[in-house]
Amino acid sequence: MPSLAKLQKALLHDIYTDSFESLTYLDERIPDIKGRLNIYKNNTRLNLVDTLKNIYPVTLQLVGDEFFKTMARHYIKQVPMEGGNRNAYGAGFSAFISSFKGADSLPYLSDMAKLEYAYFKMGLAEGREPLTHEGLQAALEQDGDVKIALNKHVCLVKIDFNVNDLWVLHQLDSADYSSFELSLNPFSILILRDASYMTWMKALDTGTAEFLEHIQSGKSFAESMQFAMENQSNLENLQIDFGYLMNHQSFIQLNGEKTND
Amino acid sequence: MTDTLKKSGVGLRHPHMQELLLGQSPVGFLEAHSENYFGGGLAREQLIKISKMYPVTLHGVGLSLGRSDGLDKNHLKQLKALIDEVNPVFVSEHLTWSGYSHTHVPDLLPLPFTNEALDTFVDHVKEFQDTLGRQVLVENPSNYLAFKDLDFTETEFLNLVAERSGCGLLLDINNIVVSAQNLGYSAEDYVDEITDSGAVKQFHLAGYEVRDLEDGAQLYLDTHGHPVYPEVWELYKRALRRLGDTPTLIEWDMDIPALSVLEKEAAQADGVRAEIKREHSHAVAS
Repeated sequence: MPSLAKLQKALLHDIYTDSFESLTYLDERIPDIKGRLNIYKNNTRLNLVDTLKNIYPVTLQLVGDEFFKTMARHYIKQVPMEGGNRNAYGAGFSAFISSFKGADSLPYLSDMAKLEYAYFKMGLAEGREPLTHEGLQAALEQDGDVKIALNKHVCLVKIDFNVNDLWVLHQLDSADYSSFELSLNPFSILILRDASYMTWMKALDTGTAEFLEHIQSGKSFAESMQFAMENQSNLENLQIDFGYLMNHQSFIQLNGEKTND
Repeated sequence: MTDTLKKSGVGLRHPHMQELLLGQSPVGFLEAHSENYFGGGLAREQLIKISKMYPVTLHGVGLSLGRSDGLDKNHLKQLKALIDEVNPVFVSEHLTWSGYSHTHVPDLLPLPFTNEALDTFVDHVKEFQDTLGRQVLVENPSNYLAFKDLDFTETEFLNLVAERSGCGLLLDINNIVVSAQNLGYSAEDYVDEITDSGAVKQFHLAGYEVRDLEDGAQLYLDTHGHPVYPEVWELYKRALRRLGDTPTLIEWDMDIPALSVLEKEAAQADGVRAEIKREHSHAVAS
């Protein structure tokens, strides 16, 4: 019998590939050991395909079950599960799709996956103590360079195609897809889970997106707001967006710590 | 026995959440899969509410107690945070492993029952218990293959884990039937070999699926997608007779039926427990 580490490494390698190296450690008196090892291979594949289907339901609808499973199987071989929590799997699926040859004709598909992953992730995120209006005002009075960050249940996603509109159509019981026109027009989507555990998507004006990008890059609140105001054609929109974000506990104050990204 | 778990329980599954939140189910307790409630969000909030209405046990599937390269501290931290918030009656994990280094599987893999694996497993159970500040239960797995050149049988290994770490045991009766069929040993002997030192704190019951093999043999798959089979009920009786009345849970994870179906299975388990208790009383009286 090899060391436990060697055996575990061999068995995991077999499960994620087509190899059967660990057969040598198995009790050959048990019939069909190759078939039995396949049970673990199949379980892993089926469970992870199901995990991806659960995270990416619209991507699945767009390409159909067979094509989705093909993409998923390639992804699983390339990217094994890293930890013991299945809900943490699948973060890189969007990037994988963008380089998956079979999906060449669907250039918007990786944007949809990017959106869906963020939506799924926000649904499970654990929020931190939010920055209140009063807290922000007090912090600004104390320190003009105050830094804030997005709370964990809020994120910004940059997409190239207007897949957010397509995503909305897919949430409806009966949607009229004829009115939808795909367009290439890069912009930012805010994804936010509210206090009643509903997750929302909102397309952002350039100014608000600039503001959030700057605070995420470590710029102070004042600097970020300045950038936003310079880029926002309609300042009222910036005010509305900022109010919306504050009302949904979207920020935390940073005290020398890094952002949540 | 834990007084709060005198009635049998069922696994907490998403399709039943709204019905259970009404607080009207007659089940004795609910068992949640720990990893499904990591982080925040609606599911966790619902579990907290449920834990105020019913006794809850937490059953982990991802800690990988048998891994050879140390426990995942981040996973342990998240598990502890959940346990502190839910305050479950029991916390359980498996006599298996599922990861090494940065590669995991969403499955419970068999351990080689060697001295090295025993030392590793016991150390990890101790670390788990020390981190939580409480006893945990370890469940026997369902197996489809076995390793060669072993130092122990599964029951010897399980008993030694309990003895050396001070953990409790969760005896899954369905898993015993499945593994016995697949690996060619006696399910009855397995039950008879489990320590009667009081370490067994909980039973699991479930249904398996039968697959016919080309050579005419049958493979049992632990799918948790059927009612409890007669041979599992029979083995359950044997376990109750030998180990005494023990909190029992009905597991059902595939093709999940209405809650009432699970409640009926739990009531059947209660009936069996009452029958064995009566048998025991008559034996003592005579």
